[in-house]
Amino acid sequence: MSIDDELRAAIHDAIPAPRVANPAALMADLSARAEGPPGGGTPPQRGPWPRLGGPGGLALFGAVGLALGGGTGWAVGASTGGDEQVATVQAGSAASVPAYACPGAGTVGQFSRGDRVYAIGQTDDGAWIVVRDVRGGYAPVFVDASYVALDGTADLETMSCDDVGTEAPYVEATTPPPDSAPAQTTAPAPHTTTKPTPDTTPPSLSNAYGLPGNIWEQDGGGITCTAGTARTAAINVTATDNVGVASASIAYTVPGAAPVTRAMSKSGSTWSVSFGPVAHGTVPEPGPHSVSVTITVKDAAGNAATTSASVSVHSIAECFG
Amino acid sequence: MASARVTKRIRAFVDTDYGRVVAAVALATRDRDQAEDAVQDALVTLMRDGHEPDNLAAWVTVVAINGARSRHRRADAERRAVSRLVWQEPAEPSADRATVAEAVRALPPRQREIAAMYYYLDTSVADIAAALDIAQGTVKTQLSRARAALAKTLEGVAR
Repeated sequence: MSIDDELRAAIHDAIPAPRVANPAALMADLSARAEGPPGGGTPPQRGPWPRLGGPGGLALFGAVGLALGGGTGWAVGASTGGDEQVATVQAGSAASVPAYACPGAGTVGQFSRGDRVYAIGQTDDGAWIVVRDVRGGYAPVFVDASYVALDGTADLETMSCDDVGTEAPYVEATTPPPDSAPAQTTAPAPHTTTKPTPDTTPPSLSNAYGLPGNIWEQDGGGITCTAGTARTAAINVTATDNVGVASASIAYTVPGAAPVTRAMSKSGSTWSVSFGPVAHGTVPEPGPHSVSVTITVKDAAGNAATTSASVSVHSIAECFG
Repeated sequence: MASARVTKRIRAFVDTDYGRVVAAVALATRDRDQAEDAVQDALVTLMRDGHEPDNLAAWVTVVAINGARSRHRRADAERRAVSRLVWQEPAEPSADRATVAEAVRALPPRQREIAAMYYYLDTSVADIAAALDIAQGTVKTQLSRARAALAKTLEGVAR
């Protein structure tokens, strides 16, 4: 056995591949995300009372110890900065657990057994846990405490129905005067956060071009172009942004072919992706046909900038003879 | 949007390769949670642009590794993916196994990525080079260094 074989066996042995609990649900979720807006990860709301676990549920069937970083980046709803804990919904023999806007009120959705949630609070008698879906996007809800298994042991903040269900307002941080009266304790104070300054500056684009500027259809129909004839071109653009460029893509339509959209990859401040190849017999004769490539670049805030480049596509028939 | 053929390939990938690719990305990035997020993001990208890589597992691995790296750089990294994997620890956890896994995780980033693809995903040198867009010679050099470091660990375990 070679050293490579030994290493391969040892590493496989050390790290068993995890299995997918529900491949069909995973495919459904991936498809839903692919059909959603680019860069958007949160699935769309489905009806007035969303199924909180998402399509197919978060079927983990057991805690897997996700380290979610104490809720950073998930500040949705009535988080008050207290202890938040990752938790697992356990439903006993049932497949789902109802969620309520307030104990005693009607249900607003349901979690599946095994769903991972953030526990952000509890009622004063401890009978109900206030949770929100780990993917964010939904208002906090109440779940019977007997259905929630907390990963940690820290105390949860006491919350009432009034604390839950609406997004916490932003309040500019202020320093209280030294002799101010003690704060009221009967009503929860709004969470004090610093409102972020929105980024409204789109990326700046320059130096957009296709290289080479001419390509030919792929060989076919008994016609072969000479070796070295370009079949693809590289589309490049230089993009900068005050915060950071998040994504870039191209869109183009070669006459006779379906529209193409491709994500670009980054190297420094240059983004690039290939154009083509184009199957033989696609473009009408005579050619060449100048194809405009629209380049769209976005920053993390969703500000977009567009520019264009062009590539000429030649028919394979030009290589005849 | 992806063609029926691409969707079929992705479905086959989910059935057979998804778990081990997530594990490989976790090995390369040393972050199990980000790994599954990043793999799902890579698959969503594939579904959106209809790109058809020759070696799907290698392509997803490289895109996911890059994605996970970007997430680490972003302070406001968003955890979008829905984790569906069931991770199993080795049936009989041993110090030896932990040592081998730790040795891979201790490699420098590039060596770790290439070692994860070569030893864990059984990806060929040519496919790794194509997926990373680097020369095969570069892959071989990195593998040679990784092999030397890992072999030392393996010898220690065997003793």
